[in-house]
Amino acid sequence: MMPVFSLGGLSIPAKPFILLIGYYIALWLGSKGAESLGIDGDHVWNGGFLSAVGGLVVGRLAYAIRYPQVYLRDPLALVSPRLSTFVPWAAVLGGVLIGYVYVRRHGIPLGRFVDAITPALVLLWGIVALANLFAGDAYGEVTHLPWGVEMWGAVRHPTQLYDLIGAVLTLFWLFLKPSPRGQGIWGWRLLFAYSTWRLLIEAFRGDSVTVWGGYRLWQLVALVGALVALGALARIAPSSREVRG
Amino acid sequence: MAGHTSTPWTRQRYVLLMALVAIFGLSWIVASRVPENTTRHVAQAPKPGFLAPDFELQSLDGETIKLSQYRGYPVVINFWATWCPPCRSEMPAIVQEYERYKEQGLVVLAIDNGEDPPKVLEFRKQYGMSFPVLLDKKMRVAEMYQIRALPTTFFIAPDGTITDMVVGGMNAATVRVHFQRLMEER
Repeated sequence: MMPVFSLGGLSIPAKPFILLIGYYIALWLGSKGAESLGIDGDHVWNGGFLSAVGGLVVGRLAYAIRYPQVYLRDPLALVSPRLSTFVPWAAVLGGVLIGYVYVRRHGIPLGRFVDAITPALVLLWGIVALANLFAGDAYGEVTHLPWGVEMWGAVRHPTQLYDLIGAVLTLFWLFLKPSPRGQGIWGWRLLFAYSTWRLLIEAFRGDSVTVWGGYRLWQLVALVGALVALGALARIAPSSREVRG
Repeated sequence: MAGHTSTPWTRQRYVLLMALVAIFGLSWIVASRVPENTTRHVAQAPKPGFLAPDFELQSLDGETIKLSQYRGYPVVINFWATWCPPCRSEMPAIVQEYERYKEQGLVVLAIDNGEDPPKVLEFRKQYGMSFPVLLDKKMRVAEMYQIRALPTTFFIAPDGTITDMVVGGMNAATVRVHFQRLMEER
């Protein structure tokens, strides 16, 4: 764990720094993937930039809606760089929606675009896990298992490492068992892999959000994600008769 | 990118897998449920979700103050120093919010990082800080709270759990929002 990097007397928070660098690398990788499928790589850079800015705006607005009197009194606070006044899930959702609108408006086939950026999204998954490891976020439950790590005053499941392993395994699965690219299959496979992994490892998290008598919220979301991905893959897949014939 | 693709799965196999994932997933969710009335974060750590580490320091007025004596009240701990510009810039807003909520039980503890009392006293006077100003001469508490940058502010619920942590200076609106949130969670 190293929540802050010290560079020449300057303290840089590790998580935002790693995420920023990771996002840049993911955009670069995504642009290369897009070019390999005949999509202009600039669309990944432009769409990625708009998604990031849009996500930040939506994340901040979602926060400001809870405290309107504060932000009406001081509207300039809406552009404050403070990360503690964001709603992260709203930012991610907003970013994805803005990316979707960008792709549609430019007439890019969605399935092809998603397949092109899938390896970049897996990379981003790993980067987020790494950033959480540095910051000590997304930490695990207390454990007595030999691979437990000392974090926040106890030996805990290294859930950030579990997440990193999930990203690496997914990358192997996607490339060692490849499917045709361009129809969205890679994207659905990633959603299935991410959701299934999240469903599994969320059980070892020490900071899970719980609902209705202790159920872990993100496990419920992940189960829905995995089933939606499998449903989409089933729709694209040929029937047994088509395969035989 | 890979040059060849594997044999495609049929629709029927995906449907079968969906059924298996649904059954396994629901069973796993039930099995890994967090039992109700479980105190999950009994450990003390300087991190939201954990109990705030307890400490004892001398105030500028010579009083010995222990964090645990404020159990039952919402507490804000602000680590600062007189030489730190963002600390100076956020302090008026902290003072203002303290004045707004002190009647409702809010406690603010301003912990100075290793400076001489006369300097701190002058600062307190200049900014009208009516809450306890504590002297962390050996920066033992700063170390306990893993302070890497000044100012750093912790927001602590009446049950002693850290609800929020802000590293770096806050503008007036951010200070207002965080204080309001703490008082709402009370």
